[in-house]
Amino acid sequence: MADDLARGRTKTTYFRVHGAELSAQAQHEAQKLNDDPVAPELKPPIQAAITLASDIGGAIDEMRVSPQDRQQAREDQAKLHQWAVKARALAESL
Amino acid sequence: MGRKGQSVGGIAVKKFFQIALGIIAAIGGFVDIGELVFNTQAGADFRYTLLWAVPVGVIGIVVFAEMTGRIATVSGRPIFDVVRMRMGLNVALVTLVASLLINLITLAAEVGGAAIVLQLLFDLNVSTLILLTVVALILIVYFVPFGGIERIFGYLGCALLVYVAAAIHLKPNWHQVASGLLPSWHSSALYAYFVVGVIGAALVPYEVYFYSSGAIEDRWKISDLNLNRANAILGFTLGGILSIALIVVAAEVFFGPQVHPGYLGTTALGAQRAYGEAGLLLALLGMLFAVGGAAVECAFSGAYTLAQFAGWEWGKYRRPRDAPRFTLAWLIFFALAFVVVETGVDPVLLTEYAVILSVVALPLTYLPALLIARDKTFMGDHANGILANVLGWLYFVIILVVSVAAIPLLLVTDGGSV
Repeated sequence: MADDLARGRTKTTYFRVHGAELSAQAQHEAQKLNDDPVAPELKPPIQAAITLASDIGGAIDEMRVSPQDRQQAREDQAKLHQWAVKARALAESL
Repeated sequence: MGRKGQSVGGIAVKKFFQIALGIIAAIGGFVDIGELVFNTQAGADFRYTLLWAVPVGVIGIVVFAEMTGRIATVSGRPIFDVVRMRMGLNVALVTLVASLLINLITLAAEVGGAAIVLQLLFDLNVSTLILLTVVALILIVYFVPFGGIERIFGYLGCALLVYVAAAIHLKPNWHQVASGLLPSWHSSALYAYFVVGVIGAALVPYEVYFYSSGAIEDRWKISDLNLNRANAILGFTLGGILSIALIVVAAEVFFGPQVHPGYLGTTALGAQRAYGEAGLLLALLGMLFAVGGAAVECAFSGAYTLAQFAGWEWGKYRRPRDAPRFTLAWLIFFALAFVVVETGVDPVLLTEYAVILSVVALPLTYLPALLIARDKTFMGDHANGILANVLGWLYFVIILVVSVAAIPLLLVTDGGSV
């Protein structure tokens, strides 16, 4: 979505509405991870996952504020890509 | 002689267009929120390995719809009339209650889906859009004739063909796509759940109630039996290609990055990936009219089943004052769906429950239709032939297996989220 936004290939209303759904989901996942009881040895990766989910939600919200800002979208897309790689690595490490 | 030849030619051309337009409407009308949700999730989670379930479901709906359309054309009796006649009052009552409940859940899901699509297009408050959707659908149903309703939603729903173009544009591995069309099995409950979901999404009973009652609305005669066959076979089969395209697009766009599409907006993203904003708009337009049309079919199906069971006057071809209880029934269905969706329940979740519950109730209407369609004393020369009987019984077994497995799989997989 961020890639399409950066290339001007989407609709602002669509990005705002669907972005809100995705950002809310990311925040919800962060809250769930925070509230669930976990074994002490899992605390560091869980904390990393919470930070990732919060960052992802934040980046989506940033783009939703000004979807016409392609430069911002490009920067956020790069960040989201890095976080996706980190999230995958984190999942595989568990 | 010349005039006679011209007139015969004119009739043939008219017939051809009648069949072609019916098929186009059937393509656009085939996909509903169930297909959009289950097929996209199937492609995202299992790439092409669930493609084979689409033809299984499509052949099932072709067999079922062709039989019920034929029964309605030959006997003038729609499916629910047949259920009551063949199975007796008690079984018919159970079937009626189950059908009404499932119709309502499905209608609520379709209305909610239409409101979500409008929100994606206009970014307005979703509660307002739900109200606008229901009011718009009621006005269309009240003022537009039956054929017009079929055409508006069927033709505009064809915007979803953007997914067929997108499936080609995204250059999938066609060898793997073809392999996916061959039945395979994964030993996971989630895979089995999606097999049931993909088959069930194609085989929803409300489409058959609507189809068989529509045969009477359109006043089909014995000479229209070929039209019935062409509509059922070509319309649903070509509609099935849309389902396959949804799976292929989802597999190409979502499987790699491990995206589980839990929103209708994510489904639209597949078309955007291929064609940018134009693809997105076509996908959203197609979704709007596909789910809007399905909502109308659901409301009518509920009113048809109730009116046919109770022996009321029914039919859109009658003026509302000539079929007042039928008219009131579909109005109440829309009102109830509005209340359900306004509670804030997630339409995608509602869709999953509607499809799975539909599968469970399917044998209740399928069996009486099969028994009547093969009964020579009732159907005369138009009773099932050997092929229709073999397919009919084969699908009865498939439907039984799927209906028995549906609820346990829904529970074990927590609605496909495990």
